[in-house]
Amino acid sequence: MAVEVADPGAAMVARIAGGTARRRRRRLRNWPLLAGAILLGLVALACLAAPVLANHDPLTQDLLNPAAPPFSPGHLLGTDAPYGRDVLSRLLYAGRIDLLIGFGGTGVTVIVGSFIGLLAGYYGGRIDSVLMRIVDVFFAFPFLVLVLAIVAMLGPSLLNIFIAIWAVSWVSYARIIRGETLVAKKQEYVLAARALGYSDLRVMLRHILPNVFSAALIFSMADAVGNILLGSALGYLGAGVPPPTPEWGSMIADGETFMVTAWWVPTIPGLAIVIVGVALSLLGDGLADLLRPNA
Amino acid sequence: MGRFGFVGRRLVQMVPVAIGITIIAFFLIHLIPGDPVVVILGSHYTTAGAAHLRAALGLDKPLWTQYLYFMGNLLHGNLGDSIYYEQPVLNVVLDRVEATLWLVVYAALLAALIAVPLAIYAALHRDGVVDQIIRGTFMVTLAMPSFWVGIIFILVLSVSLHLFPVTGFGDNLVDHLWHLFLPALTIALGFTAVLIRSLRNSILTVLRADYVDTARAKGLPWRLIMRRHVLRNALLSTVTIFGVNIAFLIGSTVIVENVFAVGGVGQLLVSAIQQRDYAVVQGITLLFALFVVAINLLVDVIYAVLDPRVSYD
Repeated sequence: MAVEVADPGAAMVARIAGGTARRRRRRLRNWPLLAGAILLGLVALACLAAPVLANHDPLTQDLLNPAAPPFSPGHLLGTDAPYGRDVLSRLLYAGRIDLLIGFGGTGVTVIVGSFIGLLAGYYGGRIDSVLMRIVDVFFAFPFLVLVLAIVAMLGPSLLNIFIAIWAVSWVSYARIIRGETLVAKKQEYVLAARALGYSDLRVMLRHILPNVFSAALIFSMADAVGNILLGSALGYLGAGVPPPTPEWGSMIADGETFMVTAWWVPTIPGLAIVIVGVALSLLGDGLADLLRPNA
Repeated sequence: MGRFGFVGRRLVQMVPVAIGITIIAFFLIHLIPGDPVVVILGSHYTTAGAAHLRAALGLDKPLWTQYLYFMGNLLHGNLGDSIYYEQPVLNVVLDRVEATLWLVVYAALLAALIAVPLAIYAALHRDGVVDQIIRGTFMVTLAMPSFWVGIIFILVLSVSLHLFPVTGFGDNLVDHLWHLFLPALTIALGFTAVLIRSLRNSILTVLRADYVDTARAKGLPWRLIMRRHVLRNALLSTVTIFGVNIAFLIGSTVIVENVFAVGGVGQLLVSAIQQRDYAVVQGITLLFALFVVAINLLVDVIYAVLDPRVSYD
């Protein structure tokens, strides 16, 4: 390409004409987004296809073959001790539960928390003070402790885990979206919308929300990781999904006693958690690059 | 008034938060499905005991009266009684507070010791190979569940290599440091990632500031600039980040104390849940939250002392 700087007009034309190539190159530079999405997609697909991929029933015990190491015949990841259940099958089925906790927990709290943040930021004044005080109160509790306490009171079950997470995690989004809304509501497009007489709700949802939502979306990735870690921690402590339902955290707890003789039983579920967590982090970083390239 | 006015104002702001905390803790017991008295007493149920508990909790009175009972007890240091230990909750907790405090401080120090040098290096050699490796490594550690890391540590360092004891708290100062090293490191690892990211960003911001350019233009040696300007601001950020994340640190102790059987408040919380000792669960939840608020106040005061630009609002 022999475009000289001396002819700025031609340079500009070439820049515009070569736009697609530049856009493609920029997207490839955003490899975290791609890598994260692919990794997460693979894991989610594998867990969704558990009934097809798992060659054993996750609950069936084989007491004649406990603690078989990985690559044993018929058990790609070995069997657990002392029950002899196939690790791979349990891993895939457990993944469904953990991914469900991660996405189900985040999905609801994103919506609820963002809406509350919008209300607080948009209306300001007393509503803002009251809502943010409530948010401050929730932030004083370590999330794990509060979720643990709520699940302890309500009883261990998947639904109660959801209820506990929903009741507690919305505050992060409220705080983030409120901050963004405070900035956004001074922008001209908001003033214009209000001058046109649009209702508050419409201004909030159709004008402000699309612009502030990227912050919530980026945070939701980290939040999903947190919820998966939370769910597996509950499982590890015995306060989560009740046995014998496989769950990565409780698999780790079950295997802990046998960690010396059958190291793969507690190690492999942990690796699964790490892989999902890394995938979500990459996705979050990629999204941040995509949505806020100046940051 | 000056700085003391600032502290006073922060204390006043804290009151509604503290009250909110007690309200949430109060409502925890009321989440229990079924008759709370039956559930709380469990296998210790007697008709007389039930009547006593019902009166003590004021369960036949309207909800807000019950809350007043709760607050009244609280202000007298009465957090209820542990069914399992048959002692007041406060006593049961205070017996174990020492181990947890040690663990939290130890973890915070380890995290700072690891994070500050790494963050400075990463900021100074921004986007270099080492920076990328550091950030990549800690992205992975952020996804590692703390109980899993703890188990791996035990497996490798305690059982195989016999470098550290597996469980317990130890008897004297040096023993504490030795026993708590792995638990503290486990907590620190999760926290270091956050710390490095924030520190690196704030150092980069400081390095771009006008006064650093002035200092370099004046010909000041780089070491001096680092010490006087960059390090001081970085430390200020570290203090704030600790304040924001103290809740996370405390939450981590719950898991890690269980993995390493440290015998602190975190382990007490989990065993109380398993034993259906609801008063203890409620009490610990409340105390943790109040502790977090207290630490945040402390952090604000330290920040006001260290940074003369803080606005007193």
